Amino acid sequence: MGRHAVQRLLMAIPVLFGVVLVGFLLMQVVPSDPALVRAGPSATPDVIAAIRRDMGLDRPLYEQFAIYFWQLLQGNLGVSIINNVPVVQELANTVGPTLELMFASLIWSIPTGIALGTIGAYWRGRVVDRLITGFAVAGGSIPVFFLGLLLIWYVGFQLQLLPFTGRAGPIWTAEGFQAILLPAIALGGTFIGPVARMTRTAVLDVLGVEHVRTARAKGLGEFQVVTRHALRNALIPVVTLIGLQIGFLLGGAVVTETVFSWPGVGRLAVGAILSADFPMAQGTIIVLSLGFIIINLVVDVLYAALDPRMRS
Amino acid sequence: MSATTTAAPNATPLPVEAEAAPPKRPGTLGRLVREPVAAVALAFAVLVIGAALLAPVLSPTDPYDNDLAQAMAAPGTPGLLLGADAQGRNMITRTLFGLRMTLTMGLAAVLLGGGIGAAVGFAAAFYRRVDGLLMRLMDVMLSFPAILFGLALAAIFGPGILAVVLALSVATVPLMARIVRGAALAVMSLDYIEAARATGMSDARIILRHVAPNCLSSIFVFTTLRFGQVILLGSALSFLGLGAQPPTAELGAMAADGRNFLFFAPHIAIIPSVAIFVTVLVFNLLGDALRDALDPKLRV
Repeated sequence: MGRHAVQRLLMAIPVLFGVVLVGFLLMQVVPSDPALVRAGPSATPDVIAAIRRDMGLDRPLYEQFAIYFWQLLQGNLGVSIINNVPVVQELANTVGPTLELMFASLIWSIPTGIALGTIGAYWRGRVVDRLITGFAVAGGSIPVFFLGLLLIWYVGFQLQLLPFTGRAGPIWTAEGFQAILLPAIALGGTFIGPVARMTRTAVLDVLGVEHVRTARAKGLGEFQVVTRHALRNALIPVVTLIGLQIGFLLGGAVVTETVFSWPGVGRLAVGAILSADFPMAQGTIIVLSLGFIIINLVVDVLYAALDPRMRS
Repeated sequence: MSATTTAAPNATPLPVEAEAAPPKRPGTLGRLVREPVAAVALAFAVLVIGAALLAPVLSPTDPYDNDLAQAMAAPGTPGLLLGADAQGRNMITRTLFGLRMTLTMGLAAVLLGGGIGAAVGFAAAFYRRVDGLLMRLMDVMLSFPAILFGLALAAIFGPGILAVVLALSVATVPLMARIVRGAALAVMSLDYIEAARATGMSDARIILRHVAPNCLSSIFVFTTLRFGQVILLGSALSFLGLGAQPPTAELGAMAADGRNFLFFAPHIAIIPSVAIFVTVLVFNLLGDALRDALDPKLRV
């Protein structure tokens, strides 16, 4: 188990290095000159040259990368061109809200999806199964921004039930909880469909297996057969698939944050790109990539912990 | 040899043989239209593609023609069945042209990413020495979502259709590579590939003539399913402002524009969003049905 975790960790190192390298090269191919941007439109050539020297832009590329990498290890991702705030500081302010939004989305959508998938598998082919399958396909086809806009327009604006813009504090406060409800419903809503479909397939596979028949034969109630014998075994592939999808939920979070003006990393990244704030864009992309690598690593190790057959 | 082949058509088949012949299996299309959901999805897909292709003919106005007097006109206003947007442009025209642009973006991404992915998949299946390296690379690409590629490419090239198409292509490559590799490996384990090798055929010829045609159904099913997903992702990137730029009509960008007027004129955001939803739903349903009809092994 420990060996497997270490192995996966070692495999993640080249990927991490690759992400940093791509992040660095990203700034090299950007059409504008960072020194020019920093110097402003009225700077003389001498000033620009001085700034270029100051920023290390006159050195060879590999030296620049070494300096960049060293600064990154020290947690220095540069300064925003737009408001002069250190990139790391902005990231520190936005990572929390993004994690909060993902947590709030997953906490209700995963159990709902698993329950719907199990019900569909149990009553396979019946009306309820068809309804759930239809719902799941539709849920997987709806753009997250559409669901968000509908919620804002109907629940937020027409019914005036819940706030629909920004974050009002940590999730455990009453205002914070209310503010996160609509974004979490929108983001989680697009996640139920895939979870329900995966669970349905996995439970269907297990329902026909011998030990489930044995459980029935020994007179166990249907509820116990499904939850204790079928679902339990079906959950191993479901957990992995969910884990792999969580990374992609982070992609949906970028859109959800923009729709609900949620102050997370995704919204920061989009804003930085649209305003050509390259250091900020670079920093947010590196941090988001790191997030994906960490999620995949955790899922991989968890999977091995759940299913010893996967360790080999 | 030639005598037997010319003689064969003239030979009268035995009546017993004719009776024993199994009933003709319905073709893919036949099996597809027997399923009501699949038939409806197919009809809608034809409708959506037709509407996009014929946008210049079907549209009542030019997509950039605006009439500020009609700004934010509600659906049902005389002459404006679906209303007008904030610049007073006809929503029917904008939606048809938006659909055209969205489908074009999706098609470009599926063709580019799918083409490169298929080449990688065939290479990995055929040349076992590079298999491990190529597939690890695909695994790494697969661990990043399309939205992130979109952010990175928009940062490099600046927001625009090019960035979105490239991002969606990059995100499609590893998925197609996996599908094609799996399908190609199954075909390559068959005897006739070894026979083809024994006759001295070149690798390219074996892949193109003997392996690829037998992987086509898997490729086709995946492409249909992926087309829906690519449209969903592409419109999300455009919604974020990273894709098509105003005044270009594109469904995601139109929804983003409508977001600013959500409380006064919700139809500006809702109509293009519904168009995206229906298009993605149609291709997802069609992909599922095609998979069941063409490639039951892939059924999930």
